[in-house]
Amino acid sequence: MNRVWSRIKNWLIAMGSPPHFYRWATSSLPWLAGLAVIVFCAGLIWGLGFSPTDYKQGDVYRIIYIHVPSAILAESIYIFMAISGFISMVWRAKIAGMLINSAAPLGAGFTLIALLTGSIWGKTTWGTWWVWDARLTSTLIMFFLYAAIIGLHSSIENKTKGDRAVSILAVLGVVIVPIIKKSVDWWQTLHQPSTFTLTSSPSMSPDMYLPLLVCVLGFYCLFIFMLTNGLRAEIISRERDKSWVKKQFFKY
Amino acid sequence: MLDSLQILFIMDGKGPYVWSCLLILIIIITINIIIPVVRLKRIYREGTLEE
Amino acid sequence: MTNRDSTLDWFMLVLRRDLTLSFRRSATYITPLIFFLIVVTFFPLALGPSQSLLSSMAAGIIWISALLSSLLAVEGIFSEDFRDGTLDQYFVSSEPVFVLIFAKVLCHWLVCGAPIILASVLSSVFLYLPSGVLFALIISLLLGTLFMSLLGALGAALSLGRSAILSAIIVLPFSIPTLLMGTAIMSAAINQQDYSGFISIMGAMLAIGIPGLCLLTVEAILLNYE
Repeated sequence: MNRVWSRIKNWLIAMGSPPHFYRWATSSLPWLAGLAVIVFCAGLIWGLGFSPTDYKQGDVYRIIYIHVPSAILAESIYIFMAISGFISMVWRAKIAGMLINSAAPLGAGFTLIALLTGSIWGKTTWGTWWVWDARLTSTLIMFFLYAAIIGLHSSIENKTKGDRAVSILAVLGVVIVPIIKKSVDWWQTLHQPSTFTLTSSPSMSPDMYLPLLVCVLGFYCLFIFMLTNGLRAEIISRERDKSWVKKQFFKY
Repeated sequence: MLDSLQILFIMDGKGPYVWSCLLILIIIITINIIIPVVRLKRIYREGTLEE
Repeated sequence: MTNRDSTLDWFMLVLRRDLTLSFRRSATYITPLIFFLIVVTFFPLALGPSQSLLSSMAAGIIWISALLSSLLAVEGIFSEDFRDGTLDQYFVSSEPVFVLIFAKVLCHWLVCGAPIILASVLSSVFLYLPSGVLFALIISLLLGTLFMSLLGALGAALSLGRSAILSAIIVLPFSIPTLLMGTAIMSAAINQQDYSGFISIMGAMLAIGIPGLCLLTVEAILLNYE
């Protein structure tokens, strides 16, 4: 047990070094891409093509297979960023800072997908593009938080400094996001009765639920692939003056 | 076969909504995948031009 | 200073110094005040002078204006001290820096928050806010502007030497709970419900925010010394 733990620790420490991570990413990227494509497509095809039609909403409910996984990812990417922000603040691990920087655009993208598909779904079922529902509002705020993080990082010339600045924001965000969610819930109940909720009927049958699960899994796989893909570019652009990059990448 | 595809695409007239959602998903994901690839390519080009 | 001086003495020293500096320069407390009044004036101009409309929106208008003006005012809280090296002295001193930073934030709140609250009482008359809720307005703004000063100090530290709009983008999403709590207090007061629960929540947010945000601000200022 002890030896397993120490091996995991050594592996993690090795992954913290950019050259090692770059080599690992380059060799495993095709595998990650393959896995992501298989699970992602399987989930979407199953959900969009073969799951039964909802008796109340008809076929429009199939947007759930795009909307819900994106919304789940939007939140988990933020938590992921906060964890790596904490790591970068406490241990000053270089790779953790780069992780935030390459995860932020992905999180913003998934949040945007969740917002856009949600409003398309709302147009068909509620008749309006936007409702000031608690969940919609907190997702919109989430998007602003991502935008703040991206904006702050791009405004700071020195990238390591930018990493630390952004990790402060990410850590603050993870404290404040639950507060935002809670307060938006209260705000919503105070200002208007909740006529619309996105919560689907609790009696969701397994042949609707299982494809959704596969979709969520597929989105996670896709995120891991995209993150690795982005991190490679990030590493190279940060370390382009280091000798290992010159040796490996530019073949001097 | 063609009939069932037709049904899948139209989805009782709600097809455009569902497929536009899929389109949005694919566009945003593709953008997020392509940006790092382009960035890497550019660095590679600049790096080889320098010396 | 001899080593008998406690951290509290240092806290008071920084507070007194900053207060003196701000009172010598009247722009520090006049500018946010004028900004607040101008923003408040813009709402009736844009929405029309209808009394019922304005009185139902008054609380929200005052809150938004107060948030924006205290955010704008806190923008330059560190820039002067960073330039002339006073902040360096904080960091080389043996005292916990976040206490000194809190003294600065508190001073800023006293100098900018108090005039804004006075002006909000004035503008509540202009906007036909029901006069029974004045106490709720004052107490909610007292807590809210302090939280905004803390958040704004973090934003100012993160964007030290960069554009002011960046600081606003950073801080505004994080200020949403304060805004919602503040307006919740106001709408509860207008509907003559009990609002002490919301005040407790704001107090709890402040109790966590004062040490937490000051520590993060110190971390953010340290970035500029690398």
